[in-house]
Amino acid sequence: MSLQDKVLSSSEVLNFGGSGFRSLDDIKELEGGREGLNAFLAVAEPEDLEACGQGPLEGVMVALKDNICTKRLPTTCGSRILKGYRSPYEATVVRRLRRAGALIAGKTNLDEFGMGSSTENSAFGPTLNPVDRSLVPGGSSGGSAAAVAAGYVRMALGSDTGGSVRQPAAFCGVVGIKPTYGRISRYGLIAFASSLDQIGTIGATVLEASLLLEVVSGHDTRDSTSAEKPVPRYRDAAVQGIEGMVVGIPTEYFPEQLDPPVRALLDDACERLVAAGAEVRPVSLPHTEFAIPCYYVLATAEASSNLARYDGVRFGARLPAEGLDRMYELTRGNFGAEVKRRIMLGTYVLSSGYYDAYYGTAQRTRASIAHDFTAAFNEVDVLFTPTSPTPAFPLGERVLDPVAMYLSDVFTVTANLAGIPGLSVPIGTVGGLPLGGQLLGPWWGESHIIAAAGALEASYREDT
Amino acid sequence: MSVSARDVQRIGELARLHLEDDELERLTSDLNAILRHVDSLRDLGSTKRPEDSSQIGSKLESVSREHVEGPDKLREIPADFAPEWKEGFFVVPAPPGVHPSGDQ
Repeated sequence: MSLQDKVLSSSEVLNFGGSGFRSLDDIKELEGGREGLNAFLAVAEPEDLEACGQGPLEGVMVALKDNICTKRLPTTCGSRILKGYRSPYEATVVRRLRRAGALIAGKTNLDEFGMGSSTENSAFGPTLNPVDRSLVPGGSSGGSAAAVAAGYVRMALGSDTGGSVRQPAAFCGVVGIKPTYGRISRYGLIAFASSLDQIGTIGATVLEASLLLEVVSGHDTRDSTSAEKPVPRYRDAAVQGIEGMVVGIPTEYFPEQLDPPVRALLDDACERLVAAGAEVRPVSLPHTEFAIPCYYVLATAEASSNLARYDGVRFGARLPAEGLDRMYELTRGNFGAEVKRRIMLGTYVLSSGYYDAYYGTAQRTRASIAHDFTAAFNEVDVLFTPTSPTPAFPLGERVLDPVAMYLSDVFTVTANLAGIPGLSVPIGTVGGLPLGGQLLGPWWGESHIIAAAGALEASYREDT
Repeated sequence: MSVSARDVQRIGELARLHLEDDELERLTSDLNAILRHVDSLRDLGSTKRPEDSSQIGSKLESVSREHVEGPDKLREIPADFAPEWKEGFFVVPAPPGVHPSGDQ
């Protein structure tokens, strides 16, 4: 019997890939010790575990990025302005996890409100990369990726607005999936940029990330952007193979500046895809060079609007002051530097006189980027690219240079702009550091990218 | 395009963010660096396949229906659910501490 014929039990899922199970006490001890990664902002107490279902994740510990609302644990978004905040309701994904039998292990660290690529922008300190503690784990879902890579949990949820699931998964050597926009309900996901935000899954293996995706996907009447589409058995796709699949290699994602060792690993991954039965051919996505400026106009514009609610009246810990305007300003002074920077940029690009030059142009560019993908997927089934131009970088290296930090997302933001699914899978190491390969699929083509990632993972497993 | 410290101060007021002097200086520098990068978008219309954008734009159709004016349902005083009506407004109880006539 092959894996695809089996109904996986929780113990099989937990042990798939070889790592063992950790208890809440283990997680607390590891995080509280000298080797702690600051991956968790809150670890659940035993009385907080309230699994109720007997589904495919029965008894499995799952960690949640701390911008996903939970009733029993605080939800801070890594921000001083929400320190200690307890949501009066829980996210749809949390209800679905509990229905599937999962146990919520705790809430993981993130860049404040998801704004960052290194998890250094958290008000509660940076998360360290478990592969090398002097490096960032990527971001903004760095806590979730680090928690899976360190073996604290086998699965975690993150959110991906411009690469925030895929890039940290790549930096930590685990698997991250950002599904099609509308695949997973965003009800209870605290908004950063609503037209780009999507909850994503992180797993120690392709199978685990896919199973988690299967459990949390599906239509939700509480999110008007969630799609009424049936959810395939993604766990089957992970082992179905890729015989006859056509894989496109977008030339714009392989610039000359890529380090030779990085390029060598990408070339090797292409050869493995061919060996697994796929055909590889070059394609072009000509508007890729405009993706970063387009993304940072649209994402900050939406953020400036979404974060207006943190004023000490509607949301946010109020700081007392003389007069209402002063109270607003003092309260909002609790935002960190990167959040302020993005609110300022978003307010500027939406202001009278600059709106069309920036926001209007960016909207038209977004349509062109989506059109590039439509054209490419007329020719190929999936696309293969690097997830990030480099492996994980040192803590502090880019935190004072916003443009350099933004360029970390150069290969991931296009999937959010177009709304297509993307996945990062480990493809080896450069200087001992994990590198991720990214698979992009057509809208609702999660099964294709999972199948390709599963084939790559199987190929690397044969090496060991 | 670039922004001055005064522009940044004004943006801060619009965003309800109070900026200290050192923050103002830092943000002015950061925003100008970001805007230099973002300005490449403006090249798109003139140098990079402008036909793509226009073709896509011509294919997009609004999902909103046409606005059609109908009869004003509130032209007559809806006595069944608004027994008190004055000069086109519903009359509701005044909040505590506010004189019903609106006088200060």
